[in-house]
Amino acid sequence: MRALSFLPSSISTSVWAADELLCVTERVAATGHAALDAELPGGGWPLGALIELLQPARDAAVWPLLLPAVALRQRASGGAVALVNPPHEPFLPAFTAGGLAASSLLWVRGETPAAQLWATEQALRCADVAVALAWLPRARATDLRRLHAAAALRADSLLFVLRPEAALAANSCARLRLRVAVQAQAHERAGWRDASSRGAGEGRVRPRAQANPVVDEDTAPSLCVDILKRRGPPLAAPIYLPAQAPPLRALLAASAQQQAARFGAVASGQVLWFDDQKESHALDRLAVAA
Amino acid sequence: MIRKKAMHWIALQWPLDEAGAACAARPAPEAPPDATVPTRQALGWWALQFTPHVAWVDEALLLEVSGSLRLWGGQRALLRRIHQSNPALVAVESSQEAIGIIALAVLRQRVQGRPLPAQRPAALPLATLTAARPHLALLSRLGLRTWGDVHALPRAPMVRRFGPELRRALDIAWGLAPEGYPWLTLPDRFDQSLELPARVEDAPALLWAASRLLASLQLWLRARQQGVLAFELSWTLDLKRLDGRELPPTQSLVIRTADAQQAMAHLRRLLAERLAHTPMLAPATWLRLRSIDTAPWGAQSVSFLPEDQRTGDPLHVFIERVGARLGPASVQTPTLRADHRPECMQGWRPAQKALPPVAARQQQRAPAKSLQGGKARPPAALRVKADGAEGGGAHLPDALAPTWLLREPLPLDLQADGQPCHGGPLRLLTGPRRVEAGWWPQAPDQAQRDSPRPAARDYYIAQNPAAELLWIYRERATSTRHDAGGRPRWFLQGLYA
Repeated sequence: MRALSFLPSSISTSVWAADELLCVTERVAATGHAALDAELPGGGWPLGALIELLQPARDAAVWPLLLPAVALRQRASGGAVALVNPPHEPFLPAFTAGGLAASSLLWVRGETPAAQLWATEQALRCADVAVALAWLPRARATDLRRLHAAAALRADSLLFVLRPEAALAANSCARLRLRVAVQAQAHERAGWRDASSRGAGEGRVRPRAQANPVVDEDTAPSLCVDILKRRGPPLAAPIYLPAQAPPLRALLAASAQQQAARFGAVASGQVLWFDDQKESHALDRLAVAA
Repeated sequence: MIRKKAMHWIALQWPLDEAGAACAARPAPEAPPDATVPTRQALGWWALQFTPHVAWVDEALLLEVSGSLRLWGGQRALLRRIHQSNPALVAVESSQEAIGIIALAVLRQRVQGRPLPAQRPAALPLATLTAARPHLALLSRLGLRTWGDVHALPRAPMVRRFGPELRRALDIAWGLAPEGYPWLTLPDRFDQSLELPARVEDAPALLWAASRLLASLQLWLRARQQGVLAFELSWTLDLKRLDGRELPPTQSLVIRTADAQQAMAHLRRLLAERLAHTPMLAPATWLRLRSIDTAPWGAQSVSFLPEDQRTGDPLHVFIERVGARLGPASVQTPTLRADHRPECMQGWRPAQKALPPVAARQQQRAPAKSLQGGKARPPAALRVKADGAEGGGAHLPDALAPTWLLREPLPLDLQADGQPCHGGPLRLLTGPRRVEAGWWPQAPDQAQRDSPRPAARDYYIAQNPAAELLWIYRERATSTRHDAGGRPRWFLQGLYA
């Protein structure tokens, strides 16, 4: 806003300088991850627009990223959650644990890509569908544009389209474009970033990642979210989010420590991490597991 | 004197042809191709909202409005209202007079573009009087041109010569006899047939004709304050046999919807999808629409608050529309069951069947109205009914459960040392979590419904080299099934994704 300081305040708020995040009045839904919210224009998933997520595989991890926002949105509006062409059958206990009412799920199946696309569009037109998630591996750019237009018809629709990473080079009309992948260990992350083929198709020069990326306390895998397109400057370094719900994460950490202790090889720097709220629950299950 | 001034009769005429079939059968250039002209009978039902005295007389609809004129705010307001709410896409011609047959005569003059005489009924031409039409040639040879000329004839010889109908019609016109017709009544059930203008061989053309019947159905529903839940469209086949195969006399299609509807757009769309999937056995000649189930219709209250303005279809419209095109099983909702085997914990059924019945939804709607909030509506029209069979414990939220379930567990390859592999050797992170279920004898119906296999499993959370978490289990040795070599078998059943 510094460059625009000569403008009256009534105008400068509605002017977006491309080197800063768009902080406009557009409606958003909180993602449930503070680190991600900070990097998204408006501070959340944009409503009434297409959000495109690129995955390495159709059944790659995506729910740790989406479930908090989907559950919040479903509870707020009370509508249904339409899953169009999901890779597998949703397992309800996990969704219920994430705060999403099981009865609100709608599993929409379409045989052909055209049917899947059409069903997604119909779901967007429905006022009682709070969130639509569509796995459209064979969607074309025109299809995405169609969905984007359908999403814009309703100001409160939340649409995620999940596509394979092969669509990275193709252009897209999505308001927000992210790449989501699971990453194993903290020390592998920098290497993964250098080896990644990002930039080949986009021709952007980015600053190098800082020498100390977000260091997690444990060795559990984390979710690497790279924002490929947003209304704002390119993202310097990918965001790392926990790849599991807190209870599961605590359980994994605890069992890792247990195993390490069993073999007498506790790494000196390894810190156990427990979520305070869910601690008792995880320990219950630990007792069962042990 | 009062009778002279009061205009108690209104005559209406739509440009329909004699048989009452659509003028749209002749393609009118100005009318859109999907112009819906309700049937003649349905137009009469529509007019019943203005007065209970409605009758079709020849080509015109006569309304006797003396009883309801004040209700509608006078003659002018009523006519304006009639023209505004005209259900047909073609404009309606109207005339108003103190007496019905005069109104009809005036209407005929107006439709034919002839000037209207100042003295009515005396100066009206005889051609506008229905009762005089059989005798027109004779009357004109006698030099009688107007109603007044015939009225001036001596009574008794005139009745002998032309019959009592003409005399009676003139008596009515001069106010000497009461005027009455068999008034239209509203039937309890909608059942209308329509002869197709030509043999129809494909579904889209059938839909086009059916939309006329749908428009009539809508008028009937409005007149009865009802919404339709189910109707049947049937068509008569023109052929008795085809390729040596006996054909049924009719083919029919039943359309059902979850919410009582008066708007026809959704029903027409459902009908179009269903017709597109229904092969026509033979060309059709007649079309018949019959209401099967209706329910009292209450309009949704309208709110001016901006946060209550929701654009978009209701949920059942989405489910039914997708179900009509992609098959009823294409949209599914979960059902929960009390079982410890993951594949038996949940089932899926078509969402159309899960939509609650109308009575339940009306109960839901009633408190929402009293709260005056569109958003305060109960969360979703879709609510899985509580089954008696459902227990409490099995479907508690389980934060350690995977998000994707493989209904058919995937057998895993084993390494030489017995370590399971899936995209590389798997590292077991937690476990075992023991599940032993299904050993009790199954009820016969339940045995067919879901897999009755007893399960003795140890569940583990495993990680593959790509750092993905998997939910795998090992069949325990107590299980009845074994690998040939006696080694335990490993299966993949869930993905943490």
